[in-house]
Amino acid sequence: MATIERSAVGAGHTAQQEIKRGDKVLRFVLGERLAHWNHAITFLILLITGGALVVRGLAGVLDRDILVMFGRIHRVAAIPFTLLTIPLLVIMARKTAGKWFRDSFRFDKDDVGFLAGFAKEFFGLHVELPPQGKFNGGEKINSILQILGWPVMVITGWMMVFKTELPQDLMAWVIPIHSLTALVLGCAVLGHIYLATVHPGSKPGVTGMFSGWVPAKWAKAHYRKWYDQLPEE
Amino acid sequence: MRFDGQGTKYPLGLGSIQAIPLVVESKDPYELRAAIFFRVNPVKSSGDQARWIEALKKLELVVAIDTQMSETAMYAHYVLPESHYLERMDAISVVGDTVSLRQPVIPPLYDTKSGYEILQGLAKALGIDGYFNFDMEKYNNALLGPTGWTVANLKEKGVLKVSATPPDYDNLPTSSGRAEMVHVGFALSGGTEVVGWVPPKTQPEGDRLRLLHGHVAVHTNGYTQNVPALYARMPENELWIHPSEAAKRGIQDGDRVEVANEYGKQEIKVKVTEAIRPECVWMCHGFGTMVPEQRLAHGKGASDGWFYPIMVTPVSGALGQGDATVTVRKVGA
Amino acid sequence: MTKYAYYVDLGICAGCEACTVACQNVNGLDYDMRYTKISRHMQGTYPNVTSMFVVNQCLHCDDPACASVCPTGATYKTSEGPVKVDYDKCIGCKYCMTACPYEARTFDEEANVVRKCSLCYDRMAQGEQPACVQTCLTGARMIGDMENPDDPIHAAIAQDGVVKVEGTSFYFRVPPGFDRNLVPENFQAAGITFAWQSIFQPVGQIMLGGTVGALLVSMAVNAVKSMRKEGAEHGDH
Repeated sequence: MATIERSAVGAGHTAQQEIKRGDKVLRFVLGERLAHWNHAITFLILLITGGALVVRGLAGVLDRDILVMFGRIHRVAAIPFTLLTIPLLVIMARKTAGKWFRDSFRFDKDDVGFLAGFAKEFFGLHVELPPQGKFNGGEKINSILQILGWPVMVITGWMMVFKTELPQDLMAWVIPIHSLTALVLGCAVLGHIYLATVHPGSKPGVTGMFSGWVPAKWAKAHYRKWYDQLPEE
Repeated sequence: MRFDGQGTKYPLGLGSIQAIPLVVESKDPYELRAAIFFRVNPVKSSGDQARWIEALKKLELVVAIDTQMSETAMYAHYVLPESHYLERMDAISVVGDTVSLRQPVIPPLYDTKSGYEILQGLAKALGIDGYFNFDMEKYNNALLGPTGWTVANLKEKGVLKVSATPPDYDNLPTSSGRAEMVHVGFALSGGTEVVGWVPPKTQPEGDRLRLLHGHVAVHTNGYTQNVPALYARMPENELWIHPSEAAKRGIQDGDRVEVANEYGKQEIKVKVTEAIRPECVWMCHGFGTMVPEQRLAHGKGASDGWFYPIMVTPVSGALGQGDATVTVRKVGA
Repeated sequence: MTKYAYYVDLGICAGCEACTVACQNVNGLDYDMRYTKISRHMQGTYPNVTSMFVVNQCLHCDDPACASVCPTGATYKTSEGPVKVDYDKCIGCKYCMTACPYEARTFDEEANVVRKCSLCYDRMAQGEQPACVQTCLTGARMIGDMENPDDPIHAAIAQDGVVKVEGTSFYFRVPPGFDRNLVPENFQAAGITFAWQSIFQPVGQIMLGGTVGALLVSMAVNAVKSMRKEGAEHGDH
């Protein structure tokens, strides 16, 4: 019988750590989910409004007043993007988020094997993938991109708010870095959304980011090493 | 005799407006009772502002005709606002062989009249308007008569060139037929037949510096300081001082200083520069206006007019503004 | 073909700033916004002090950095030479201000656009001169057509002491005793700008397109797979 380190608030209510409960497994606690959605929603707003400003084709097509409004929305969305995510993780989900942060940078040979086989699986070919921890090799890559990309976007972005007060030689680099990083992260996010909502192998997990719970059978199949060490409720 | 002695005491002079305070105080050659100022601002530009203000207060009647409220107009009993040069026709102007017209390009924006219309109106009130029974266009056409042109020609062409006879340099209209640098008239007017150097009355001694003034290309004399486009380019003047004299006084570029002498006191920003003689300081004329209606320029910079003693120099009857020395002290020091 | 060039004789500029004011009037600018800026340079020690006025404005570069970074194409180089801004397209992002080596651009807060000298392109199309050239009291400014062999500008720029600001449309006569460095430096594009516009942008767009393509292929393959599975299941009946 596993001991639970923090008691759940009432039966069936918010669990504070990963557990098995019947045919479901808790994958993400509330703080992680709130942080994810803050980050995701502001990111998409920023990506779309920012993209419209710099992608030449769009900028030429959209009305000037709409682009100016996009610019204003961009700067407003930047505020929760900058300020909310980390406090939510630190205050509400320090343990699990801390583990996620550290594990994202730890690759074992199973993770590498996953990455090697994933491309085949993505395009519908059958492949045996090695067992994964809580996050598979691809998810770790995505996390790394966001963990490293976020400070780059925040720092370059706020510098761009003051672009005419900062040295020109500096801004000549800051602006293209902001654009390029946005495009790289944008590609990763497109893939991420696709996997969460469309791709048959991964989409059952999307409930993890809403209720926090994912199907136990799916978790066992895709994240074996994590599933095996989860305590029962 | 004219109040300022022009034509008599100063046979070669061109007139000395700065004599007004001297005549008011001394009543010599006679008691002045009224003055009409037409397009001049002597309180700002003709030396010793404080003395001018006291003098105007003593006159029974002061009238000022100007296009804006000025230091002089502030002390007038009546201000007759004149139309701006773009709103009025003036007499034709002849420079060298070129005749040009000043004509209105817009009707007056406010309740103003041209200088001539004001003159006509005053003449009517005095019952002598019979001598002014024409308008400016008729007057100009009369002046142009001998050329065969009219105002309409000038309006069409802009300027006209007269065929003028150049001077015969071998036979000039002088008593000797040649250019004369020696003239008995100079001696008769208080100078010497050959114009000689007369040292200034004052020298900078002790901690005093000679005050010089001048003009800049952005502004015109003392009356454009409030024009928004020009105010934006140069809102105030600065006191130019040599680095050695600035260092002696603990003054750095951009500091505010107090300039003072026995006639007046002003505060001004400083420009430390090599472009001035060490024993002199320089400021651009026309700033530091006292007029609150000049809302932009009011109180900006300093007026050099507070520092010059009023004098009427021999021969020419000029103001002699080189004779002011001042102390310069950092404000707050 | 017309190719405009601009010449300023700094030896006779009197620093009156009438050009600044004429330009403001013609372009409807507030008086604190200047497309052409005059400043005074003094050198030497008393009594050997000399001074020169310096003119700073948009130099209408041959390959303008501002145009290459403008995301909406609002800033563009005309075939006659002047670099213009279409204020109906400008979104006020200020990228151009970070790219201009001559600080020639000003942000208009009220209209939310970045403004600059247009070399009075529209006036010249009507046969008039730029307002600054027409107004210059000393005749220090000149605009000319380099493609016209009879244009007086050729003689003007052939004089002693004339420097061309390389990579731009401007020539200045620097009077004797003054340094060429008082005049704007030759145009030099920031190396990163080329990388940004010609590499990052297209690569980024290819990556995005590639990602979308990959997703579509994945979707299609998985759809086909599930259809086949259903077909097989039906076939079992």
